Amino acid sequence: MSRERERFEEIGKKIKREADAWPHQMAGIRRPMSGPPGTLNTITPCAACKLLRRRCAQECPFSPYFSPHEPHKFASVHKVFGASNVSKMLMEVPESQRADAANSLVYEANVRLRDPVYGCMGAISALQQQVQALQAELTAVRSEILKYKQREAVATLIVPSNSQVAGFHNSGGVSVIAPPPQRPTTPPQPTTAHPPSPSSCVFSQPTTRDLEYGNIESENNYFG
Amino acid sequence: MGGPGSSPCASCKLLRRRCAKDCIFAPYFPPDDPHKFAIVHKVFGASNVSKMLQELPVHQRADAVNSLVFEANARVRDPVYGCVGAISYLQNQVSQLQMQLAVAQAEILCIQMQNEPTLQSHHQVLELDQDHKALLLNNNNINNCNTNNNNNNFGYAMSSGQFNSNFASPSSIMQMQMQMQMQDPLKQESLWT
Repeated sequence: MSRERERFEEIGKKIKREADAWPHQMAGIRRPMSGPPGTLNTITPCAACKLLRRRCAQECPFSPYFSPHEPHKFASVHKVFGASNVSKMLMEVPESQRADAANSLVYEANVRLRDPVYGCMGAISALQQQVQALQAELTAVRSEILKYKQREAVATLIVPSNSQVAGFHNSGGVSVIAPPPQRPTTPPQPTTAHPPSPSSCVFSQPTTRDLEYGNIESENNYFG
Repeated sequence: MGGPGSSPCASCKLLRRRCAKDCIFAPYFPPDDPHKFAIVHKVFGASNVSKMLQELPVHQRADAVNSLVFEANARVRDPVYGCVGAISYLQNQVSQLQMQLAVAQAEILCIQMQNEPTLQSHHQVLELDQDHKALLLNNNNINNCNTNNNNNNFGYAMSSGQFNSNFASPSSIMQMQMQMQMQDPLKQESLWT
């Protein structure tokens, strides 16, 4: 859990960095309109006060985060969480993190409106499925690479010319082939390479599959 | 449940009102689990939850309530990022795995191309016709029976697109549908624009 928290905080920092530009832009937009403390924003109320048809005061909790140019942002949050709940949730957070909180509420509200039954839980579940599928595929491909390298190692053992015929037989399963031809006096010239059989792409699978799946599953228990 | 004489549901108890027979909350918020409604009420508000449930067919309301409880818990646990933190973390994981998979697949292509000249160096192989080469490959497969069995599993995983039966839940079809629905919008939508 603590490790997940650390990762979570890392991601939080990334998100915060990305979001930094947004409040600056907002501040730039708002600044020319603001007057002395207590003055009403009579020119352009924020999206929240516009939707709720009320006066937008200088201390309005929504105005820094819900620009009048993006009314749909507040509309979705208002429908899913309610204005008073959004206000409470923003006030509970340190001011320096309210922009991130507002943006995450907008995101969650949009997901909830898009999928009224499963909401963000559905998105999280789908992503967890995708992570598991990708991990399984990666494990399989890496195992196949290992098999190829092992075959390469075996192939080098039968290359020496003095044991060529014997080594070839020892690789097994060649007894059904016609009797080996007589040794040629001169080696033939190599011909154009044939592409490997498509079936070779699915040649190998790890024998420890179940164990690895168990490990993979535990990693995805984000809220566990 | 509901009606005079029986105990009110968790929501009517918290909101101190009468629990009518047709109370929309009663089937999903039993009085013995008051925390469930309390947290949903705090994050979404009772009237919003009521509206959301009314807009859904009855057979989907239980799932909706469970997901609302899940999200409310996430929001209370992390008031800044809520579920978005988990979604962001998982999206990063998907990106990293996709890159690693691309690297591994490129490596296996290189190995396959390198293997072809090695075969040509054996003049015994050159003496064999195409049928004998195929027979040789089959013999190699026979020598790796266990690997061959695993091949089948891998083929199934490949043919099924992204899902392997070992990971599928009883609602695997629903999960796949959700993934199809959710993946494109999530990819198209930028979180911060």
